[in-house]
Amino acid sequence: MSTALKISTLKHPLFEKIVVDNICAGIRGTLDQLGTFKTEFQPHFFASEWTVPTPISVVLNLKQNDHPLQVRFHFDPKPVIEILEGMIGDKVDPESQDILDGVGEISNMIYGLIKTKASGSGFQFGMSRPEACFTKNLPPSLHPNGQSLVIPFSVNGGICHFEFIVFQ
Amino acid sequence: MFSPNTKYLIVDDFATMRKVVKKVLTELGYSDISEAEDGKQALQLIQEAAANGTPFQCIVSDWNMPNMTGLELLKACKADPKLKDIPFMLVTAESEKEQIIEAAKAGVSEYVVKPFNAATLKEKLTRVYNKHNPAAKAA
Repeated sequence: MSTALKISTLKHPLFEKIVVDNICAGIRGTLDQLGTFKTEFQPHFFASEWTVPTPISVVLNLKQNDHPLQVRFHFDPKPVIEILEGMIGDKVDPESQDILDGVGEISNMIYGLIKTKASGSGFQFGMSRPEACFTKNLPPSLHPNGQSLVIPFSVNGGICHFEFIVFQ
Repeated sequence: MFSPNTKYLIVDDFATMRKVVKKVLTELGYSDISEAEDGKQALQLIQEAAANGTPFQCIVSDWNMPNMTGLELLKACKADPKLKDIPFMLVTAESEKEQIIEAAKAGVSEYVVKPFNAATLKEKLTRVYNKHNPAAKAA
């Protein structure tokens, strides 16, 4: 259950339905190409503070028209391991740096497709190298007053989140 | 198609993707496969191999990497008379038309969008080989 401090819908152009749709299409499109994964989305929400419930995170620092943005992925390790073991054909240790490397690449691919779909809708986002970490080691935000769009989704039953942070 | 003793260089800052590409190349019968973590390291390996008389015969590189991107690596190879004819594939999550055009203008041999499967990579490698060996294709 989310412990987010939920806020009302923000009138921010990056939180429009079309962006949410592009994000979901990017996530589903990438996972469909990586294998047979059951991907389901839950209703998105907005938050200024919330507690990430899963142990692995990935951060991409971006800009749009010189405004800083941040994308974060938060993963349940179980579906990540299923994806990675399918990709590389080897066992993956959930406590190792290999899982962080792998989730970084998975996020890279998902974000690449999101970026393309968003571009088709008129939203131009930059690209940056995903930085993966265990959630307990997530760095503090580089900028104050962040507002998040959070999209929960499950992959083969494992709960994950896509978080899109805009800074005022 | 590239001969089984073709010398490959895989360039990607994520070890996972290097493993994926290496796995596919190995399944296709290739075994002379080296790796680099970024464009700068790759360029050094490419230059050394050429100087030693054992040049790489195909480069498979990511685009977004620290120190030197795949596009910068491609341009560096194209600017060097000893390296410019090495087949060079970009394998990347970047799939926007502008990026593909930029890569084409820089002289990329082929462009593969991640994620990809083994069949796609094999098809792209065949196209790269035919592009660089038109006589073989015509035969």
